[in-house]
Amino acid sequence: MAYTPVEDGDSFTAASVTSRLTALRDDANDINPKGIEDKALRKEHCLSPILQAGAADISPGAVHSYTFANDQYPGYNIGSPGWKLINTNGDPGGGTPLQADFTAVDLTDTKVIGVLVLFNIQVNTIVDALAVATSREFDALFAIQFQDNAGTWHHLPESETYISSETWVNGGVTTQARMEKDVPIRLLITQTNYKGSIKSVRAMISVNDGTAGWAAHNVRVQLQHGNISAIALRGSLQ
Amino acid sequence: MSDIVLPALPGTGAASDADLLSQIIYKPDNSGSPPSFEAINHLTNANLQAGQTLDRTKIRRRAAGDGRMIGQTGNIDFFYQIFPADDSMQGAYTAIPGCGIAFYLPYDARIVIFTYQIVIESQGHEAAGATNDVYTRLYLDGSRIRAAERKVPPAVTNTAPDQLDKDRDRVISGHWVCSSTSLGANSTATALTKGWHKIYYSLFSQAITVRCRIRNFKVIWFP
Repeated sequence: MAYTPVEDGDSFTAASVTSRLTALRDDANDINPKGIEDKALRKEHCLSPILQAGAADISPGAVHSYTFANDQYPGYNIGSPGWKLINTNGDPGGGTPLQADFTAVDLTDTKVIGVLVLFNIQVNTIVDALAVATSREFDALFAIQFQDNAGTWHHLPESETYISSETWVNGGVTTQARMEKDVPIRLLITQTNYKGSIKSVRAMISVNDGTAGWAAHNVRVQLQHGNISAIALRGSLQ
Repeated sequence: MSDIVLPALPGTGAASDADLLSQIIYKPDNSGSPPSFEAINHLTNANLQAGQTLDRTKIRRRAAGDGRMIGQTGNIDFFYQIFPADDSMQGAYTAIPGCGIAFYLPYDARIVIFTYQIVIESQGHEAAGATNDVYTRLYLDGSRIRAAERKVPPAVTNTAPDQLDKDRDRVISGHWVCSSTSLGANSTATALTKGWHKIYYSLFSQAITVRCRIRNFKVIWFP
């Protein structure tokens, strides 16, 4: 800032005071970034890099199950039907959902980088619920969906992730093995995914059966603990 | 805060007003139009020249977030003799070295993100069923985080002769998020306040041997 001191002999009038104060005001209202030292801004000067956040976690005592009969995988990039919201009740629904809600953020806003999503789920078993078929071609698929401000859910095909069942030989007999696998998904939802505001993300499951030649059977996936987090990140100091 | 908007200044011939002059120099005000130079104490983007922006070189390191990471390159083996017979017993779960971290949070963080990657394989036998499972837990400041609990099945799946099935290694890439504000009705996460905190991954096993390969354990926080 520039300030002209009052020198001895100067007339100290209202006009001269007003002039000096106005000049200071104008400088304070019109700062050039070059006038700010590098690394001058501390946490107290900056807006939080976090715009919004939401999370959900489930840890029921019993497993929650999803079946091929009810949640048959519809194919890549088909959001519905066939996908079921992961919840503590499983197929019937209505339990605590793996759905993270947050105050809506506009992905087209220049200050928004996007919404970081982290998801983990424990897969206990992938088996034939009727105990007829045994295979390594039963699949549990997972995906992330987000909800726009109008309430419509959108599927994220790039989030689709799957694991296949396992078998082991027990006394010469091929047996379906327990899975006990952790499935993680990490992604960033940006305006390339949706041009508008979003306010929720949720974790979905679907079931696939790649076998042929078996008698009637029904693949069942059992899940237990899991969590999902959504963090809207700021990408600008503005 | 935004641009400074001074009140009308006295014109020539007007009586001097000490109160007005004092308030121009300093008067706390939370309105959108600060009437004094007190606004210099908390300048914002509104005070920048039109069309100008600040880049990250102006921000002091760690002002927008910070974090810590720990990892390990070696294998760690756990033998069943070091565990009690029942995982409900006090201290049954043993912290895995290199898969936990103690850190000082310099402020009440808006968000704290924990992530960890660990590979676990058990030399237990599948025929023994759940008694040979490995159980893992995450503890944050002594509290058990149930959503992060996992099991690892036995890796020996061929009865004659015994054979380790490498398909049965388990990779756990978990996460947990804490916040000083509510994360919603479906979250059981608690706030992390300024100060020291400790988080670690632990296991309980009755298998002959459990081998852990820790990749990393990270904590990242944002104001």
